Amino acid sequence: MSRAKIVALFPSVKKSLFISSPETPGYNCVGFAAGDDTRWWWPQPPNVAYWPPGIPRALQLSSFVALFATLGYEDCDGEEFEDGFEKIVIFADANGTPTHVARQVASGSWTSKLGPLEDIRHSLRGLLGGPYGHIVRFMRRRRQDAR
Amino acid sequence: MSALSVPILAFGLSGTPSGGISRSSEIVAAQMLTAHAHFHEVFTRTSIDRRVAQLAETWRIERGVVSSMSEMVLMSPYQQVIGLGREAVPSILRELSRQPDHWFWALQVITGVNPIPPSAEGNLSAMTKAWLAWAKTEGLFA
Repeated sequence: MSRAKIVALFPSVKKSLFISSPETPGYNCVGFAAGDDTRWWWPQPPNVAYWPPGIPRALQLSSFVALFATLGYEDCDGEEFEDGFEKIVIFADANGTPTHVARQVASGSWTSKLGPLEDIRHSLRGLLGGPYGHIVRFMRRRRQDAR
Repeated sequence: MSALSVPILAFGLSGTPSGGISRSSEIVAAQMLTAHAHFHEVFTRTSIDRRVAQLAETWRIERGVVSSMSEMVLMSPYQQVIGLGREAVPSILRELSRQPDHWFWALQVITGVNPIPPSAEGNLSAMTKAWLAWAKTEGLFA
């Protein structure tokens, strides 16, 4: 998708947008946030997307929180960069159904995989007001290289 | 009842000859009813390969930045592919081979088969290989 089309979907992202990969349907935002760019992670439908064993295959925030908890993340207050920690943020639609996950990078900026399209770098606020809805949860864990 | 059907039904197709209605008139009336029915059917002369390719392209455009697999498979173009039924399976497999993408749910729903091993779930390349291997054993794909 061209930069112009991404900006059309997320008008607030214009200044911070950097496209950092080619398009691919090989993985999605959840896998990307979890550090896996080889699989599409989603709880449903069964058999055709990856979801870690033991995590409820329910399209609910609690399933996504449980998923990232198994990866060492815990709830935290906000988007501010904290030295020694990496954060993820979960977006949801008006019904509270998860739509997207983004990951914070060491610079304090954020990175996302846009569905089957590209990876991007962006400000967190840049994705608000678009198809992903609003922020419903921040989580953090100690950076792997800081352990 | 549509406006079209009112005059057609006025022919009085009761299945038995009625006074003043010739056999020819009954045939014409029956043909008009058939034409009327066809008017309301989705009809295309496009080949099933072409139809699947068109729907696939529309689906790729419409899904945009969606990450939700559950939402992607409920989109209209994807559901239309499923609606094409078993006849479309070879075309879907050709589309999958030509441009690997997430047609696995459609194939599973249509065929009632799931050849994807748990270790391959979510991996586009591995799921594609699993389906094409199944298709070859079934003689659906060369």
